[in-house]
Amino acid sequence: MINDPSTRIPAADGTSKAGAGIRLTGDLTGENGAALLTVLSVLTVLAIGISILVARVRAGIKPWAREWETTQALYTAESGIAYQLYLERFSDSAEPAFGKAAAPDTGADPLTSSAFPAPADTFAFRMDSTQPTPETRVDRTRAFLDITSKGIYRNAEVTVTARFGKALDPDIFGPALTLDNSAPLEPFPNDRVFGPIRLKTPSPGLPSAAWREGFSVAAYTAEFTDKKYYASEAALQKKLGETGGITGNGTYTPDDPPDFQKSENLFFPLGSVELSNPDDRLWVIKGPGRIYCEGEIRVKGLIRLENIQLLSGKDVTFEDSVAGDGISVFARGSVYVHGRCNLGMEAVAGKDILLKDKSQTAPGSVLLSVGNKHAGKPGDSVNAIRVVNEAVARGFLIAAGTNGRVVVGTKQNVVEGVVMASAVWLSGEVRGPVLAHQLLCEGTNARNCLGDGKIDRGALPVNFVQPLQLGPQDRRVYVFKLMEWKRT
Amino acid sequence: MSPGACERWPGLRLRLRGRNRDRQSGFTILEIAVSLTVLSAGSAVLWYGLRSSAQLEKLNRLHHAAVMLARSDLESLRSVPKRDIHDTLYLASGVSGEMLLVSRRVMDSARIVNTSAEVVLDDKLTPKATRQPLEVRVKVWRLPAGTGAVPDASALQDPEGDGYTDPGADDDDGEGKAHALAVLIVKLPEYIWY
Repeated sequence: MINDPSTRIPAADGTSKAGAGIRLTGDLTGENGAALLTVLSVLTVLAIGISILVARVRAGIKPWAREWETTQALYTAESGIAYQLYLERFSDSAEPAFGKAAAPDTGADPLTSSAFPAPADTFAFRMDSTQPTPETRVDRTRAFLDITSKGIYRNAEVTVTARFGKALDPDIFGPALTLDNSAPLEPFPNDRVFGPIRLKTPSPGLPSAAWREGFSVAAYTAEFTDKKYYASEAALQKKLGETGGITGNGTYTPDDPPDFQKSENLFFPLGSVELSNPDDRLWVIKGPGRIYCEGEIRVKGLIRLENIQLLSGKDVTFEDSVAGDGISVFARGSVYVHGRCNLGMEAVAGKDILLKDKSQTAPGSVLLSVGNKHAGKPGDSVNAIRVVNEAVARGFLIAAGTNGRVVVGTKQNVVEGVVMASAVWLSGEVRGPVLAHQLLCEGTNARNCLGDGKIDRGALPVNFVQPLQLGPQDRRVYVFKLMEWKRT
Repeated sequence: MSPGACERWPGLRLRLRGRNRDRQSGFTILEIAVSLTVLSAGSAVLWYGLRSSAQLEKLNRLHHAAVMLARSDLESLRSVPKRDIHDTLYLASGVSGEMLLVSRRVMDSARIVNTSAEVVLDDKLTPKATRQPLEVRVKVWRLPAGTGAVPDASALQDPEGDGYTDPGADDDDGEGKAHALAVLIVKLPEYIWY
């Protein structure tokens, strides 16, 4: 256009001047003002395009910022767990450097305070860190250590729940059979015990590893089982003695479920409780929630319990396909599990624990039969954990006391875990170590014999974890083992 | 303006006659001037927006790469024994061929206490205190311009050391002190994973 002769502006002398370059004469009808409109249109289109581009870029900022904040919040929560584990090992009241356990003083600076508080059940701490201190809670009521830690960073909040046990002590649980026997063990076929054997009293024809000086099966289990029993018994007594309990019996169905949102603790000082699902649809009861009652507790039907504690002054019964995880049970009497139930639970029974009719317990379960220690009742002749009728038990099975007995009733019964008891009757298989004072093969205490049983130490899962309080309590040598890790 | 000028430049004459519009009406100098001004201003704004969004996009990707690097460094320490975890400084590729500098500092209890300005404690820490979980701080920096494509890592200046300024400081705080692109801190728990 600039070099087009027709666009040149004529010079004063009549010639055109190249380079002036702008046609001032409009020869297009009706285009007055079109230049501005055109420019504005172009600018509008460009602005829209760039706005879209900027919007996309800005949208990209949020994800990385959120990811950063969430990652740091997660690490903060995890740091809380790390610090808590450190405190579990080194900052207990047994440590003279820390003095007696005390309630946390939120006003004092724990780093500069002369009396650094040792951990109570749940306590606050300040980390020696540039990070904000996470909110950490500890639940010591179970056999394993549950730590919940909430990390907050800017706008992100992450809660991590972790469950820890301790690594299985190879000195104790290394052999397939540890027999604290006073009478010799009768010989048995070669295909019955897979793994080393350790006998206190040497037996003819049975090679044995050396007995650990001073080791006693009864003493090893007693502290743990007694502690668990008395803690649960005290909790039950305390709760049933409080005012505000529910009168009569408790009957709950899917249409009338227990309301743990309203109150985590439901207690029936005089009654019994039944949780029953007559329908074919699964009824899920989620905790945290506790039911205390003086009478029996019965859970029946297609029910799934999650993080529920049941404490009864008599028996607790699970029947007809009850399932669940994180279940904690205490019964002054017995705990019955039958009818294809599948439970991840910690059960403490004053008398027996019976697992039958294709019922199962999940890995990480702990079954404790402690013998009747209730002050108001006479002692029992026998307290037993019985695994019968094709039932499978996993985890720890401990029948404490001199009358404690574990019975693996038939060849179809399997225990995948550790069996500890004063006396063990084996007809089925134990995939893991057995620690006992005596092996029974018939209804007499006169003989010490394996019978039809089989013990395979090598079949124990490699990730098997030991409850924290089982055995000697030198926390400084704990090797914590992670069992569960949940992020919310 | 002389009358002759109007004869020589008919278009100019036409406009100077005011609102006398006919078939010869067209763009006036004023109209074009306004249009050019608006176009220039608009283009400048749009160019700035375009450039900013491009820079933002690049910074975005850099930040994302930095967070990923910091996280990856921390995650790699999980299976490493405590005694083998040390301070380190290394280069990693970022985006568009840009190099990032990863700085890891391992804070044991003594070091943490020493770096906490507000706390003054006896330097004789108990053995128990030294068993506290290690705190690892990973920072990722943009490599200073002019360091070269792949400089010798040993010659790198610690971004957390004295006198370090990031020449390409998009994240400059206005006081000449550079900020890291990403910072992640964790106390390493001591337990067995499976």
